[in-house]
Amino acid sequence: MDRVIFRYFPGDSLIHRFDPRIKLPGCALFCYAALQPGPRNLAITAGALLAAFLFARIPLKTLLIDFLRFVPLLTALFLAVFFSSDDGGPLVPAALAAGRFALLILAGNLLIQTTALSRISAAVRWFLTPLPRRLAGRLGTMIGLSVGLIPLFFQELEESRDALKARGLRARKQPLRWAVKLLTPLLARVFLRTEEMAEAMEGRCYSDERSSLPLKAQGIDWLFGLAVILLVLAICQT
Amino acid sequence: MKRGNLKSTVYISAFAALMVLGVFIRIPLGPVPIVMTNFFVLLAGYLLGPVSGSAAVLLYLFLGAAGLPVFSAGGGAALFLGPTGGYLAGYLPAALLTGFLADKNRRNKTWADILIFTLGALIIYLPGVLWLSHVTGLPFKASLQTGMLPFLPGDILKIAAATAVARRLKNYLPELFPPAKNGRDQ
Repeated sequence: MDRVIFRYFPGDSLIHRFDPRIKLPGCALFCYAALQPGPRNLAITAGALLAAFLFARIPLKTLLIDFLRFVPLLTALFLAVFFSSDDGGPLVPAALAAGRFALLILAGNLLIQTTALSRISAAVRWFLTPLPRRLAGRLGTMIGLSVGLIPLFFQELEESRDALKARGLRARKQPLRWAVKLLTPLLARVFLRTEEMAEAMEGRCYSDERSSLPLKAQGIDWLFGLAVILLVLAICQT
Repeated sequence: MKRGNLKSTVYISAFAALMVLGVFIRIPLGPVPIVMTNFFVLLAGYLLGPVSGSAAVLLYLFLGAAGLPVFSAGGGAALFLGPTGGYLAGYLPAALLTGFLADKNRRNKTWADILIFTLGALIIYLPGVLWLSHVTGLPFKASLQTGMLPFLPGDILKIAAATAVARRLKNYLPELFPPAKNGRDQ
C-alpha cells in the first residue's frame, strides 16, 4: 500500500479535526494565494503549508512517496519555463513556477490525507444545499466515490505496469503496444470492480436521499478560516 | 448503455477517477512525456454516452476546482484562468461530441471509431488554443505552434490506443458495453 496515492490517514490532529466545510474552500483559497507571483509570496505560502503538515503529523515517508510522483511534471515545468524565459535570468522564474505548482500539489495532498471521504462528501452535500436534495445527494455520492476509487485504481495501475515490465514491454520502445497492453486489462478489471460496487450498493438499498454525516463548526474552525483569508489578503495586497 | 441511476452514478465516478489516473500514466514520446487524461475523456464519452460522459468530465473538473491535485498542473480553480484553462474546458465538448458520434456509429466500423476519436481529440484544442492566445497575448498562429502542434504525435498515439482499447473492451465485456441502438444515456 506504500505506493498508493490519495490515501486518508486517520488521525486526531488539529488539521484532521477542522470542519471540511471550511477546509475545502480554505484549500481553494490557499491554491489561489500560492499562484500569486513573487518569491516572498512563495515563501509565506510554503511556510504556512509546512506548519499545516507539521500539525497534521503525516508520516514523512508517505509525504515523500506521494510527492515524488509529481517530480517528472515539476521538472518538465521547470525546464519549459527555464528555456522560454528571457527576463531576470531564467533560473529564478523557472524555480518559482515549479515551486508554486509543488505547493498546489502538496496542499491538495494534505486535504485528502487529513479528511475522511465521508466528511468530504458531507461537506459537498452541504455546499449543494440550494440544489434539489436528490441531485445534491447524487453529486455528493459521486465525489465521495471518485475520490475513494482513485487509490484503488492506482493500485491496479501499478500492478499492471509491473506485469508489463516483467514481460519486457517498455513504453519508450513500443509506446502504442505498451499503452494498449496496459490499458485494456486495467480497464476491464476497473469496470468489473465498478459493476460489483454498483451491485453491492444496490443490494444495500443505497439511495441518493440518504442522510449525510452531521458536521459542526466550532470556534477553532472559524479561526482557521479567518487565518486563510488573512493569508490570502496579505499576499494579494503585496 | 441503459443503466439504472445508481449504476450511472458509479460509472461516472469511476471515469472521473480514471481521468485522475490518466495524469499518472505518462508515455515518453518526444521531449515532453504525454499524459493520458484526454484518452479517458474520449473513452468516457464513447463508452458512457454524451450525457454520462460529460457528467464524468464535469465531476473531474469539479474535483480539480475544489483544490485536489488531479490536473497535470496540480489543482485549484485558479488553473482555469491560467494558460491551460481552455484545454480543461475543452474536455467537456470532447466527451459530448465523442458520445454523440459513438451513438450514431451503429454499424460499429473501425474507421468511424478512429474518426470519432480524432474529432474528439481535435475539439479540445479549439477552446485550448483560443484561450492560450487570449491569456498569453500570442498571435493565433504562434499559439497553434506552441499549444497544439507539439502535442499532435501524442494525440495520434492516444487516438490509436483509444480505438484499440474501446473495441477490445466491447468484445471482452459485451454485457457492460453493448452496441448503441437507441442512445446509451438515460
